[in-house]
Amino acid sequence: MTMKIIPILLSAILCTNAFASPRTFVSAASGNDLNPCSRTSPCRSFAGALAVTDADGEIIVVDSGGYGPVTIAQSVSIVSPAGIYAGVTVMSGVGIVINAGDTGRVVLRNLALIAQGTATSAIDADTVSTLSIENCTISGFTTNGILFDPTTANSSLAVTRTIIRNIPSIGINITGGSQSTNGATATIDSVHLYDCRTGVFVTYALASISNTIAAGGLDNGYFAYIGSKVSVSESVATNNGTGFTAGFGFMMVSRCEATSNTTGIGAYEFGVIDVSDSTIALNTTGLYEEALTVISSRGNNTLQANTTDGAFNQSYSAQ
Amino acid sequence: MRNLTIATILFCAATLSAAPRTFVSAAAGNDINPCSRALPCRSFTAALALTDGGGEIVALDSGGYGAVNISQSVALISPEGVHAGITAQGTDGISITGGALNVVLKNLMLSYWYQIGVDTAGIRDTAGGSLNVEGCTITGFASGIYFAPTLSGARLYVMDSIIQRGYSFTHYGIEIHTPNLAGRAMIDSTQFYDAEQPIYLQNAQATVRDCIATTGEDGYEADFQSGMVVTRSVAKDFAYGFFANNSSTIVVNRCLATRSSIYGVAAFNSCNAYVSGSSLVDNAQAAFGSATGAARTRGNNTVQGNTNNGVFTIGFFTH
Repeated sequence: MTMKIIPILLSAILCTNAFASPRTFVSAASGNDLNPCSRTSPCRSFAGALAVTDADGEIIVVDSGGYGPVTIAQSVSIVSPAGIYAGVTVMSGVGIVINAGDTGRVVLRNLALIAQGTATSAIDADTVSTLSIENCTISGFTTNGILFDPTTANSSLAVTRTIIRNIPSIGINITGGSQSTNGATATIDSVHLYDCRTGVFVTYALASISNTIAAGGLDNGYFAYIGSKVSVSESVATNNGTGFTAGFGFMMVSRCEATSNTTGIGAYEFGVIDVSDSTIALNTTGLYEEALTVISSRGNNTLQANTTDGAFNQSYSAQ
Repeated sequence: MRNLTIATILFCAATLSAAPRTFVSAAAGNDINPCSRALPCRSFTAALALTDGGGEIVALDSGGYGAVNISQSVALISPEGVHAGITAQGTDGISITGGALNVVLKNLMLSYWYQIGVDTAGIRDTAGGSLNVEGCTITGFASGIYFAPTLSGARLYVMDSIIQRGYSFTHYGIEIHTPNLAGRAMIDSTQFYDAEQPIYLQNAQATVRDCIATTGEDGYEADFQSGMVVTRSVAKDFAYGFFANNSSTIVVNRCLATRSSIYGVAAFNSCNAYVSGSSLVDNAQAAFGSATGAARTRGNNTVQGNTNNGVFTIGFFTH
């Protein structure tokens, strides 16, 4: 009898973590990473759950607490339902590393990534096809809130309803290649960037930014750097060094506000900015163009109440 | 042996170290606990004493967590779906004092029961640094948010919040006083109900977007060398909807001023109001510029159905 029971028990123990599931669970109240990460026996950490989650599966947070940094090397969704606080406290390095492969799809929903100590970036995407960051909060990282610099060709980033605060470097840093674009694109909507030294910085990539607020950046609200095209609409840049900036890149600003910045809209280093239906007010300098740069108006902007308004140096017509 | 055990427990309790994340629970918390996930505290005040500078306090379940004085950088966080109440009687709800702090208040419900003649604030910040108010509801204080930092360059960020009169009197929704200190505010997606003056600035600049204010005396007011840019926002049932006074500027874009009992838009002593793409409807008088003030139109506003459809002082050029 004993001889029969022992193999059965051994099998049960061995099998506990042997099979991945399409949906796994984590709990700060009752989780343990020795568990199978099921609904009834949840794991304690994202890293523990990810190891037993199918590719394209999902990890669900059951209750409020901290779930730890994690490296993601597969397609997965990490989901905290509304009503649950899922924290990731990062003491050093990167909070969530995404190395999901060139076909990987990753969703991060309703997570709060908080830096302590020397944490560098909340989220760093190295390889991924699509990365969606939804309803997250990111605070206090020293280098980047989100660093999207995948080697994957034609990758895409979506950031929605997310708050990024107190980043002494760059809130969202999008870099599609080092010499030429690798087809990276980004969609940023309904994001609040508070006190990020530069809110959004785009290099060799295309970015669409809407309904977004960049406030309190010592350097820039939105920056179109080399090889980039950045469209910003229905968005605000306030109390930054320069609100909307193009240096080597192209930016389209429509229905936006540039307010209370040192410079509202600034073009540097061959940068080109087209502006439509926007308000540039309460800045120290409204518009600033270096030599060989363009800030072009559709003739429907409010440029008033700046210490120095400046002037558009080109115009374009509505079609 | 028993004494030794008790002594050990007491020793451990007395030497509890602070943590980057602490927890409060109305259901199971006790302020003699270490405020951990397993042993949460009962009040914000007790948890704050055990929270690292720059750390966070998370409410685990619905209940009241008490008024609190904050003198360190911290985030007080209630997840959506948890009602974290602060009921103040004769005091401020949250008072923030000290140096350049970063304070985040997320999804808190602050309420006050009426008491004549007591100057209270839901949130009173006389420190410096930044204050983020996100998803909060503030009911019935003399001021919803009183922001009068004592350091220069302080930032107030308010989003997704409701400030209302409730059972008792609310004079100011958001009141900002920053003489010679260049205080800056970004306020979006916030509703003001029955506050006598929903947003009031002195010596400060604010950018306001997607806000609604109903019923009171002065709607959006820039006073004493202040500047305010208001976009996609509503002022309904005030004496003055959008109001600049005493050497201030207000810029009104794509807004609605309606049912003002005196003026929809008004510019008094040495002030300018710039109005573009807005609707001024059903007011006693659409616009007004005093002898030294100028209510300016870009010529693209809808001014209809007012008792007096006048009187813009002057136009201003588009750019």
